[in-house]
Formats: sequence, C-alpha cells, structure tokens
Amino acid sequence: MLELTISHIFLIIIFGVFIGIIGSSMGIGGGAFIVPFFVLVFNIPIKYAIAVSLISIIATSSAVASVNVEKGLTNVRLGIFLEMSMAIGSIVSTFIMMKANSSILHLLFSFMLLPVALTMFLKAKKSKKAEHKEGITSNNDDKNLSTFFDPSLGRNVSYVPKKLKAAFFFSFFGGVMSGLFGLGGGIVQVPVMNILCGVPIKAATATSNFMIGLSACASAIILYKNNYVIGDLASFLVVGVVIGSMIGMKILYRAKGSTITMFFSFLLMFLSLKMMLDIFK
Amino acid sequence: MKKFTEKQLYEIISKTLRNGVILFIVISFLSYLFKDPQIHKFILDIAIMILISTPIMRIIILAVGFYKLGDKKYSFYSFVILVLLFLGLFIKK
Repeated sequence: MLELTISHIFLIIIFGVFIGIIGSSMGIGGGAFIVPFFVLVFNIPIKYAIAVSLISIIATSSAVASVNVEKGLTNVRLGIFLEMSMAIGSIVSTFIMMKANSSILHLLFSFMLLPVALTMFLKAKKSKKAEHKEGITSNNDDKNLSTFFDPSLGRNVSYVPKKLKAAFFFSFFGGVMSGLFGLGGGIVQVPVMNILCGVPIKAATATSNFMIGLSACASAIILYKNNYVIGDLASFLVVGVVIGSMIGMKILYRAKGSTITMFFSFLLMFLSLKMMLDIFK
Repeated sequence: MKKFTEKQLYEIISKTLRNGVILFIVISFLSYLFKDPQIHKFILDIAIMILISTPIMRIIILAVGFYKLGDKKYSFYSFVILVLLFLGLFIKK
C-alpha cells in the first residue's frame, strides 16, 4: 500500500511527537489530527488511517496513564465505571464504521461539539477565581472522595464525582467517537467529567487519558482482526507519540487548569468547524 | 503477610502499561532487522498484539486487584469490560 522512505519515517516520528504533546496534555488521543494526516499526506484510505490512529491512542494512553495512575491524578474507579459504556460504544461504532457511511453521525457530532466548546470556554474565562474554587477544600468522609496534589496550586484538591448515571450515558458516545472516527473519545470524556461530574480539569484529563486506551483497544481488536492495521505506520508513529507524551505530561502537571480548558475549547471549536466543512465539501 | 494495598495495585498497573509500550517499541524495531517481508510482518504483528493486549492486561489486573482489596463492585465492572472486549473478537466485516 505504501513504500516508506527515510523522509516519510522522519515526518511520521516528528508528527507523532506533536500528537503526543497535544494528546497527553489535554486527555485526548490526537486522532482528530492523525486521521487527516494519513489521509491527506499519505493518501491512506480513511478506515486504515482510523486503525493506525487507534493503535497510536493505545500507546499514548498507556504511556501517560502509567505515570498519572502512580501520581494519583487518574480516578481509576471513575474510569472503570465509565469504560463499560465506552467499550459498548466503541464496539458498536466500529461495526458500523466497517459497514456503513458515517456522514450523518459525523454531522451530528460536529454540531454537538459547539455548545460543549462554548461552555468550556466560558468556564475557562473564570480563570484564577474558578481555579481556586475547583474541588473541595474541607474534610469530607464520602467514600467516593478523591484527592490529588496540584503543584500549580500548591495544595491537595479533593472532589466527589457527581451525576454518574448521566456521565455513563454520555460515555457511550465517547466510545462511538473512538470506533467511528478513530478519535479515542477524550473529546467527549473530558467535558463530561469536568462539566457534568465536577471533576477538576487535571483529574478529568488524566482519567480520560486512562480510559481512551481501553476504548481504542476495543475498536483496535476488531480492526486488527479484519486486517485494517498498517503495522509500519503504527510503529513509527508510536515512537514519536511516546516521546511527545512524556513532554505533554510535564505540561499537564505544571500548567494551570484554566489554560488547558481554554486551549481545549478552541480545539473543539476548530474540530467542529472542520467536520462541518468536510461534510459540505 | 503484608496486606495488599490500592497503592500497590496502581503500581502494578503503571508497570504493566509502561512495559507494554516499551515491549511494542523494542519488538517493532527488531522487526526491521529482518529483510524478509514475511518475517518482518510476523514480528511486527507480535508487537501490535502486545500493544493491543496492554489495556486488556490492565483490566485483568484491576479485576483481580479490586477483588483482593475486597472491592467486589469494581472487580465486577472490570470483569464486564473484559467480557465486552472478548465479544468484540467475534465481529466481522
């Protein structure tokens, strides 16, 4: 399908570093960039590009989660709970992706992103004030209470995830994004956990990173079994992605949550417009 | 005997995830040492299978780990995810 030259390999690794930085610092897999990159630059059919993207997402998620789980940033219990519906979404949507034209869901998704992006943008504008209010500072004996140390605030941040049933429902769509578009699902999971469940943005980002590896895995199993994975592209991309992830994690750990939220809201707006334009091409 | 703690469980998870990615990179690089395309593809396939298995391994560890910690609810959730992943194996084009 593709003869890889040294310059191709170099380009893929550099691109992987860029994706790793974006993905790990924002809790997304970077699939929104990977799929267009392979389709537009290497003329790879979209279904194969999605498969490579999912392999790369497993690597980003695993590399980043290996650090965040130890640091206590990841809410493992919340992640497992939401992964159940996410895995169902991934499996169902991968089946649909292999069979059907996804333009209607593509359009629905692009419209759905705009209000989410706007909400996150307004939340980020509250900036420092909101930052210091994030989480619970008083003692709480709730068994679901989670705590992590935020070095940018210089204190422990505690929180209790809320509205879990609703989050469970929306996580299904995170899985759908994974199987249908190779996006990993962080683009849905971070806002769901942050806005709906009240999880601080850093914990939401880290937990999303932990989860997207599983949703990508659920889809990748099916795509690998059906011969959609191009191993050579995946291996070089993963090298770059892992290097980038290590850099991105440092950004996540030290950066202000509001900076990440603001950046993420702009990214969502961009993706929404891009997906709309793609449909009306 | 020392009691198994949540911290220990998370350390095992971290190591599993890290080693899965490292193994993938090492084995996929090894595959490029072979000029025969079939051998290269065979070794690269092993690397990809290891990477895909990494999140599955962490779910198995979490299922067992939470059970050992006495948290049967999350052990069950992990088991449900495992079953879902297994069902995915039967989906065809």
